[in-house]
Amino acid sequence: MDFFIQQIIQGIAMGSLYGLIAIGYVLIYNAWGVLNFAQGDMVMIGAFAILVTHIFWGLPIIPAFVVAIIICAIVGYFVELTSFRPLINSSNTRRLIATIGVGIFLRNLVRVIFGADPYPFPSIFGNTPVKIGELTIIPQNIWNTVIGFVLVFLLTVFLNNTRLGKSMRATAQDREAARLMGINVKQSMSLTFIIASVLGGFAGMLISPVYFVIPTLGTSLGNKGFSSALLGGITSNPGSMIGGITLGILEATSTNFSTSIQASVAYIVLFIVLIFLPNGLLGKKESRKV
Amino acid sequence: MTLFNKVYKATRIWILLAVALTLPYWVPNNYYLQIFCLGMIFAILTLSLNILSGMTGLFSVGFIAFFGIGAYTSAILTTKLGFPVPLAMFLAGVLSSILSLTLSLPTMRLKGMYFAVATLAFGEIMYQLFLNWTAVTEGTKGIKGIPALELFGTSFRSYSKFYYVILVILILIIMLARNLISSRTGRAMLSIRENDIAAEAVGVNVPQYKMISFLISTFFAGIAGALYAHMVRYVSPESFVNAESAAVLAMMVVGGIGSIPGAIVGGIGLTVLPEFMRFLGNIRMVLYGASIVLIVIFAPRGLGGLIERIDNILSGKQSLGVQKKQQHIEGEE
Repeated sequence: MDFFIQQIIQGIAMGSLYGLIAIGYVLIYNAWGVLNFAQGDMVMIGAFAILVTHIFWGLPIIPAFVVAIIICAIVGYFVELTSFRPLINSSNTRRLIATIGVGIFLRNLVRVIFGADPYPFPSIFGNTPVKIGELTIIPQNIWNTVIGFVLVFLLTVFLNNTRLGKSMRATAQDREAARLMGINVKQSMSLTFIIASVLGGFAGMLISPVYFVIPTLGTSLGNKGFSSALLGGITSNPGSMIGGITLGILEATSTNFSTSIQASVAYIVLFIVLIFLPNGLLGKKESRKV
Repeated sequence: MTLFNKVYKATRIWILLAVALTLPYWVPNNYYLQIFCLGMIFAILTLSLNILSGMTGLFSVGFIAFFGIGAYTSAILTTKLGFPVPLAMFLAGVLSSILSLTLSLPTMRLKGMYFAVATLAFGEIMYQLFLNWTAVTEGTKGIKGIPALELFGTSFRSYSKFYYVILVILILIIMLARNLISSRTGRAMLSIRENDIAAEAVGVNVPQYKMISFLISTFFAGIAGALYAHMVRYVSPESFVNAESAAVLAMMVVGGIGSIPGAIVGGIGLTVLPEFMRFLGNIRMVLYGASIVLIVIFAPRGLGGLIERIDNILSGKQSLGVQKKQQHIEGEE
């Protein structure tokens, strides 16, 4: 029983990171109407950014995080400027392919710079497990969960209560109407993109002690992120957190049945959810007109 | 219209055919021929994806799964069960088609992005199946010693012979795609791409045509996979990872969605290009990613559009200087 609870805690910790990645997909999907296939690679960029600032440059952990976040924001802005903005009025198919191209570009650029070898990253929060009753919990797991939830909370407050956040939501809802209301649509779309990139990158930074830092880090994490996004309903921010945690728990507990099944769980769940709940757990039904 | 235009128009198809038929004789070495054969197999795959995604608008991001199913089916039937190669290749197409039902039936209601993600999940599940079902697929070891194609007592072991087999199938699928576009079925598919609700309103049986589109395109994807298996004579799960689906998708878009010449040039081009850029080392994949983005931004209709334009100029339909304003039709959503 304890073992099972421990697995669930592990699942929640991984799941909140999936949720963070998923929110990036949701933000960009709502503002730009496209699934950003390069979002997984932003996770990888985040992991490499913290590797560079903390290990290579030797900055203490807090400034290292700040600089890494700035790096992610710059990369995100660059991607938006070069590959998203020129295609703003194109069909979805073309924009989707552009994001695939961006992903290949980023992945291989990092490979050229850092090589294909995996880099280990030390644990940020220490390795001494915390004992609560019969349970032993690794601090990393607690912090991942806490930070994940805090970030989602902050994002929700930002989107609901600040002027900038409101204009971002208005832009996502109806670009033309927002423009007519005097909102700087370009700015708020860029901002959305940057926030999405930073959230993805942040997930990468938190994940780097768990996985090795390699250029292909983002591929599987990206897929899991958007499985979570769809699981929660691609139009909903809290939904993607719930989707992420559901996926994390399913993955962690599926090892009880077979280890080889673990990798496919995300996709099998995704497939089933899409069939029975095409709008996800919390997504709203979209009605379409001719 | 000058004399040159007339001559060009009358002979272009024959020149193309002559070049295609004599190609193995003037390609410098076997290695380049192998790459070119691979490119043609990918051209077949891209054309079949084009029937599903370009014509019907069902955007698949896990298409390599059907290629993999074809390759594994043919490999297993010939090495383990001793089937003759041509029969195994045909059955590879059939099985790929049948298995496509497990994707097309449940996803019938899904549209746009949701459909795309369902195909991605399907592709990933198939990959895990190739990887973990060791009793049948040999897992990571892969299946070795797949026999070469033998037909009427001739062995198609060498690339210069196998090239013609691929060419025949490529021509078959080109003819099929051309006829399909101008048929009732093809028009129904196009209408689904443009707007499925409107299509339904004018009496197109949307689920039925989606299914037909699936069956045709996955049949040829399976055949392409079987060709691959019998050319390389070794299959392993790594050839069918999801990144390969993205590559095929890129071939289709770089070639121009819905364009037949585009799909061929895109398939062959994007297979051959990285090989020619080998001297650039690791940076080639960076350039590859960047060029996909650039083509999407600056050539909305892909290489197919470019070819069409050159063709129009050479056959005198369009003058060199003034570019006719071309209405370009593309699926919304």
